[in-house]
Amino acid sequence: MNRVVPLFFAALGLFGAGVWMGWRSPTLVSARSAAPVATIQPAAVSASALRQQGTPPPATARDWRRRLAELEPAEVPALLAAAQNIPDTRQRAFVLSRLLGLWAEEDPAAALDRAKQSPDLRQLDLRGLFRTWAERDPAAAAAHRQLRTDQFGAHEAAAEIAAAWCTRDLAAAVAWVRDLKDLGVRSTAYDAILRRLAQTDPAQAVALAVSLDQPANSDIRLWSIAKIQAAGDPAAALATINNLPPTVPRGPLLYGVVETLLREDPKLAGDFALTIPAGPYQIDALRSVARRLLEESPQSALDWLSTKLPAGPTRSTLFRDTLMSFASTDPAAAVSYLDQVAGNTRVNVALNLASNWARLDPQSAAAWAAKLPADQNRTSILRSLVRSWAAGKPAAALEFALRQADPKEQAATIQAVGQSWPASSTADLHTTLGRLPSDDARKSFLDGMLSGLGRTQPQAAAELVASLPAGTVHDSAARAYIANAAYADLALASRVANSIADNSVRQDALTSIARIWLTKDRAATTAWLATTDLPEATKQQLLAPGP
Amino acid sequence: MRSAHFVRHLALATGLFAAGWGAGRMFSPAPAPVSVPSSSPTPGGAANTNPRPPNAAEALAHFASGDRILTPRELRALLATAGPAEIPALLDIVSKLPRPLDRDRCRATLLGRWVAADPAAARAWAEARPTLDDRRSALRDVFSAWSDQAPAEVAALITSTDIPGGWETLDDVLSAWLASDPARAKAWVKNIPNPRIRNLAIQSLVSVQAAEDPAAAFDTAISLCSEQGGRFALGSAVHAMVLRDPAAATTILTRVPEGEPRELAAGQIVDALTASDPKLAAEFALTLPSGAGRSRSLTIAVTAMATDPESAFKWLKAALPAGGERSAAQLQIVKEVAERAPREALGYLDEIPPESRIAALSAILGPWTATDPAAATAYVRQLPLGAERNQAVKRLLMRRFQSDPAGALADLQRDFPDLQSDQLYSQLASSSYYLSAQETLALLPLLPSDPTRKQFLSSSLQRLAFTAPEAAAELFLALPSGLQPPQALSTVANAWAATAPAAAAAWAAKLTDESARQSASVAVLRNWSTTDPDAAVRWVSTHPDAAVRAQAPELICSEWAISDPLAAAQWATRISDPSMRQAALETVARHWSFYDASAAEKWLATTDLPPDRKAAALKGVRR
Repeated sequence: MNRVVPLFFAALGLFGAGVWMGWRSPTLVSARSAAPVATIQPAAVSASALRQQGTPPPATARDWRRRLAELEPAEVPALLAAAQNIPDTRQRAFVLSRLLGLWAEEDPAAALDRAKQSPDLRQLDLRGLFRTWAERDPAAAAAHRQLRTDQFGAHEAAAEIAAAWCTRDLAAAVAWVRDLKDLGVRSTAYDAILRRLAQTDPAQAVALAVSLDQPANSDIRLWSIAKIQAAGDPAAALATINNLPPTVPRGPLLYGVVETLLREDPKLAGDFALTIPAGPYQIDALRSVARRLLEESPQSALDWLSTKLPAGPTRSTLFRDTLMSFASTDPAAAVSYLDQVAGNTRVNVALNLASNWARLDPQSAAAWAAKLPADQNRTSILRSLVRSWAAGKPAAALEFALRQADPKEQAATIQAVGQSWPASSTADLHTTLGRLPSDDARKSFLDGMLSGLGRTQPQAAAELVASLPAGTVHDSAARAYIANAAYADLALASRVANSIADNSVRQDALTSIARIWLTKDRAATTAWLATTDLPEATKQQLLAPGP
Repeated sequence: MRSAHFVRHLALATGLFAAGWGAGRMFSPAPAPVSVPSSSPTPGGAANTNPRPPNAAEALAHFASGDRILTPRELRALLATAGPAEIPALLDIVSKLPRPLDRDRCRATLLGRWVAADPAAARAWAEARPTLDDRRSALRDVFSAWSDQAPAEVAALITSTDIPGGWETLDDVLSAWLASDPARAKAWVKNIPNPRIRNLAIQSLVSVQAAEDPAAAFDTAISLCSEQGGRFALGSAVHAMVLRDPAAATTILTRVPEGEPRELAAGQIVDALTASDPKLAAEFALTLPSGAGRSRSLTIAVTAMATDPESAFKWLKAALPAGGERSAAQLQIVKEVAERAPREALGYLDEIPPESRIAALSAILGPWTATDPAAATAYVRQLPLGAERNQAVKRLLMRRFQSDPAGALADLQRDFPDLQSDQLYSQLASSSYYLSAQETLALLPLLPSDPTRKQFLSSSLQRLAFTAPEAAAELFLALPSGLQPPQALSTVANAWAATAPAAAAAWAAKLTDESARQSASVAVLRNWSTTDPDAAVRWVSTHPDAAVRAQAPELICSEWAISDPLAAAQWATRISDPSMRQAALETVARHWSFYDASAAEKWLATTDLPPDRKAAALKGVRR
């Protein structure tokens, strides 16, 4: 009996322990009975998956986001090393910054310490880490923000801290930002506060924006506040603006509302933009509307500008800009709007149109240009057209230039071909020059060519001039060289000038060189001037002090 | 014997325990539809040992109060089974969860569940979030989940209107669509009518496709190369292809059309090669033809090589002849090292050729001054006198001025007195974009003399004029007349008149010095006339200075008459003041006739300008 009682209680204890543990072990049961949710398993996001072993690694950013969304902060330390081995640099940066941000949910100081230890991690986008930390403890995050020396990191960290802090304690956040020493970082942090505040209390955001110690970005801040509020409720944004004190500038705020309206209904936005007081913000708003309409249909943008806007410099400027944009994509259609503009706007648009049209369809562009009245403007237009044509098909452009009956237009177009003529060997160039019908044509061609080559490759340009046989073509080319390349190298320019046979052209070239170089290096130029055959009086005149 | 006895007892005890365990399991509460992790420590906070709650609302309520009866994963699994009717209430509780991570994830789970049952309702809820950020992230969750079931619908929605979060989910949507119906997805992208949106969608499509099938993405991008989006997108396809097969880099590049696409692709190839072998990337960059593309590619590769600067410098010496390209690459290495360890970068200065030393030193001093200004200053102080030291001082002080303007001025006067000059003070004043008028005034006593102050103020005003013209104008007025820099006056007036002409006009009229007033008024008039000539002429008609009034027609009409003579002509005829009208008519005629003499003449004949002045106007231009 003495032995039975303890044994009975021992057996009962064992049975009871079994009951308790059985009752407390539902894991296996639910794992079996809850098949639909059993797919969320830690194994699916194990380090081996990040290492591309076992489970295939995510391919798209969407897959990565979904996989990372199943991780818990405590799992991060074990995964970081694996993530650092992701071969795709962009995916690696994305995953690592997400992991550090996630870790910060549980232990931001540890996450930051880990980031500090590795240059790769330190250079990552650590916004998530600071955002998470600042949401929990902004002061602590602020105390640790000096992780990075580069401007990007400093700005981003300060912005995240300020944004999180202001939702808890606006005054404390503003005070912290005001004490930031780096003025640029301070500005970024102010912007972050205003962006957050604009979503909850736009009027307060406006009041803060105009009272900040940094007035530099006041207008753009107001614009941004209005845009944020209008994105949710344009009517409320307008009400906010109407209730502001009169000292707050309306222009940027109303422009912000237009920017939001025009996404949904550009014409309504346009009507609203016309109610903004005349001035730069109205122009910016109207320009935004025109750009938006241009996306839908260039014709509707131009029609809207000419019917809705009153005649004035604003309409002229916007019409010109819109027509220029249209001409760059569809010159054949844009040409019909040329009649609606006058003055130099018409000339500028026509030049732009000719250049774009020649790039896309040079024959049609040439046919259009041929019908224009023969005047100075047509010469300019032909020059623009041929320059663009020659950039793609130089031989065809040269053939067209040589067909021009008017000597001025022929010279201008041959010069334009020369400007776009591709770099080639000296022998090829001499062959081309030989095909030209006259010395005048050769001079025009070389004049155009040296205006480009002389500026970009002075040495090659000098060699080209030296390869030309003595004569008027050579002298004209040498003069073109001096006009375009003399600034690059005094000795080279001097050599080219001295190769000019015509005395008066040579002296003219030497005088040009002296004028350019006296402002760059007076001592060297004075010494060089003494070696030239310029008349003594000219030398003295050049060296005389200016007025 | 004793051993057999022990075994019998052990078997009996085990049996009793097993029977108890079985009974306990049998009578335990019905399992909730969640998976409970194994006995290992649970990440994200261990669940407590209370009986599990019967529903999601209760579990969430516990979570919201900080009492974690489930792990976060278990909680989300539970939420994924919620009925659509209870989701709005659950979302309310979710918004009260203490951990932002839980809030975001639980909301995404619930919205995903809701979208599966009623996407329109889920979207409506997301769109009703009170702040833009909340709305954006909720909509992102909705679109992302919705794209699993109806990608075409979501794609059309997010590209047709500007819904917050919409564009951010385009990659997700196209990813889902490509997985379910690639042909339709591609066709849809190609046929988007708005070119801007089409180009963005093409880039998104190719980048999503490249993640799974780079070769197919490459073909897609090549087929769309006539579009800007296709040319840009080619880069992501090429990048992914080279990541998979670095050896094929050269072959891939030859398949890309010459010009802009090939240049962009070359940069992406180098970027991809740097991931596995920066040296290989640099070698590839050297196979590219000279030009901007090669320079950019070499910079990318060399930047990656800078993790081992010794080897990088060695390789550069062997691979490139001395000269521009090698110098630029060496400088890049120093810059890269300086960003993470400025002091270490000093050790590589000897590798830099003389012509790049100053640039290298500047690159080091920027980050060094930001992190340890005292050490950087001490280093610069001991540099031998000469151009290198002068440049270093300038770089040091410019950087220091950004964070501590007064400190920078004190450093200049204490440590580098030989370099003090009006020009340097002026450069410092110009360098700080954000320095306010008050901060500028506070610095004045720290400057050595009035001429220096005047120079400093001139630069400050010119800088401030472009960032805060009103503040610049106020600062100008607040200065004693001896310190008002005249050269800054028109800059301030121009800049302010460009943004707030009426306020600038009022300010200009307040200036007491006659010459300053006239100069500022002319600047205001010139600007105002480009935006609102009627207001400008109204203002100038009553201007106290006759000289300003006399210049008005020319200032208002000349630019306008060049750009739009017809409109300028119509406007000029409406001016009520006779003398101003006639002067305006003359101005328009002079400029118009330059471009179209017969039209100008025809128009001029209809005006009331006296015949001699008509002739003079036309003649003046023809001359």
